[in-house]
Amino acid sequence: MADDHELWERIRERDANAFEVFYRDNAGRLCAYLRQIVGNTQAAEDVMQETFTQIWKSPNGFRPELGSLRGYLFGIGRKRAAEWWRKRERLPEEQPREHEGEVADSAASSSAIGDAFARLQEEQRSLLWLREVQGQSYAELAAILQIPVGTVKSRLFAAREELRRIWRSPRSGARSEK
Amino acid sequence: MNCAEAAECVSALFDGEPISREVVAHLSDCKECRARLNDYAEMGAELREAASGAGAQTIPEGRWRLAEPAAATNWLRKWRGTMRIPRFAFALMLIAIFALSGGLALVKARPGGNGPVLLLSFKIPQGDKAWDCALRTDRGPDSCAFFGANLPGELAVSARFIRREGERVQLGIKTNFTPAAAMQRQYTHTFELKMFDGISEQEYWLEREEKLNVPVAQFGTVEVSGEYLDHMPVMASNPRETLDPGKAEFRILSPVLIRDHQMLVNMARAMAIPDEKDNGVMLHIPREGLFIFSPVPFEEGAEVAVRHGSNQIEFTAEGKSYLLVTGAPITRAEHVWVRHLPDWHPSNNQGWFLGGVNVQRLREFLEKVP
Repeated sequence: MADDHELWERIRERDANAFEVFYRDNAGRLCAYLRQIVGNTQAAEDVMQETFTQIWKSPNGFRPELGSLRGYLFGIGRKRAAEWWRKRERLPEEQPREHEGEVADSAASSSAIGDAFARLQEEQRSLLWLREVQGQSYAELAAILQIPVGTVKSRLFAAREELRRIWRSPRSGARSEK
Repeated sequence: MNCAEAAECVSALFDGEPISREVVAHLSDCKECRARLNDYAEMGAELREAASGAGAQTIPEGRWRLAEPAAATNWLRKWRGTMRIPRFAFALMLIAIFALSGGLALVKARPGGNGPVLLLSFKIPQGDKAWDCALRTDRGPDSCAFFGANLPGELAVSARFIRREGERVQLGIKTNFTPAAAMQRQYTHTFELKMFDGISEQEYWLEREEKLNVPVAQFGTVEVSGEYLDHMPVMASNPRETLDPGKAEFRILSPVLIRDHQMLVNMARAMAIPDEKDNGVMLHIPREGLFIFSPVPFEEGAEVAVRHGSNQIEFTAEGKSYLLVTGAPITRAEHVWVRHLPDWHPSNNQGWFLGGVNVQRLREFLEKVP
């Protein structure tokens, strides 16, 4: 927490070197997470870049007492991704959607578990990704998703159960029985 | 307790969260719950394995840099640190005005009464030309300088803020004039701060709404006036300049040059406005070479369109895409000509440079610049 506070103070003082460190440490993870939400690599990178740019331009929203800096970053990223979806949904029907059919283009989609994972709802995908792959704590997940810790617990359980159901489903073809 | 009641706790247990003894007791006797726990572990492991297989993605260059004048800040800081503008040949350049710790500007600034920024105006005796430079008076030592060529010689002036007492401010001013007859090269102009070395500084008190007469040897008397502003103006070096470029004007203000997604230079507050004798602007970037921009065709210059309200120039060189974005519209023309000399570097200059150039004499300039 102390490191986060120090880093944040440097960012607020417009220290480009500090922000570059912050970017290098988190850009890859954030981009991977955003891929789970927006469904394709290019859009995820765009949203990731917008997220860092927003923080760099207006470094005034992080409160160390409420969570980690990474949690704050992922929370901003999640909101930007939600905006991305809203804009995408406003596209006229006749206009080809730029990323149509790419929702399953996630890091895990080429594997058996990935097939099942790709069938989850976006919210469950992003929650499981943050927990299983990125190792975020319940408190960090609560900060990112802006929900109580108890809700994190119940939603994680629901997501796991849904993934398990699909994964074990014979028609999914995602898992061969052992 | 049954499996339905314990299921959510299995998920929490898998995450290392504390669970009740009652749940632990149930798990020890329940095959179904243990199978659930094993499935969670297996799913998690496979998910991480799948993710790691796709984890070789390289981190792209951060676009956040484009939203920040960090390069310019460093550029100015570098100048401040060395207190020297590197020797460089300015080809028939009208002006290159540098603020060592202040701003340069082009748009007319609004006076702010008792603001902390002093905008100095230096009016020369020949014609109605004047140059401005801005000083902060609230943060200790500050200085600014300007250089004028295509006069009956070259004039360089530096101004240093010493102290402020109520309505008046004490300044230290150095001037250096080189008559045309004494100039070694008529086709180039050189400006560096060390040209002030050995020149004694004259101290003056500038009173509010009064003017100073500063004698310049072999040149005449420069009239200095001041105006307090409430902020450091973004473009302060030419109050007569407007946002819209003049009919035949071509200018580069606060340029940012981007190649693909990489920012090569961000020269916030720098500017080049060629006069009637020049017809182009050159931008030198260490390790990237020299870029020439002109509203008229010139040797090996590629014609490109001016985009988006004429403050962007997009061009291709050596198979790479470049985008020049400036702080104000560049020209009213719809096309400009661009040339990149990637291997051209002045032998005695390591820094960034922005200045005017006569593109019809470009070959001569390139051959003769040291």
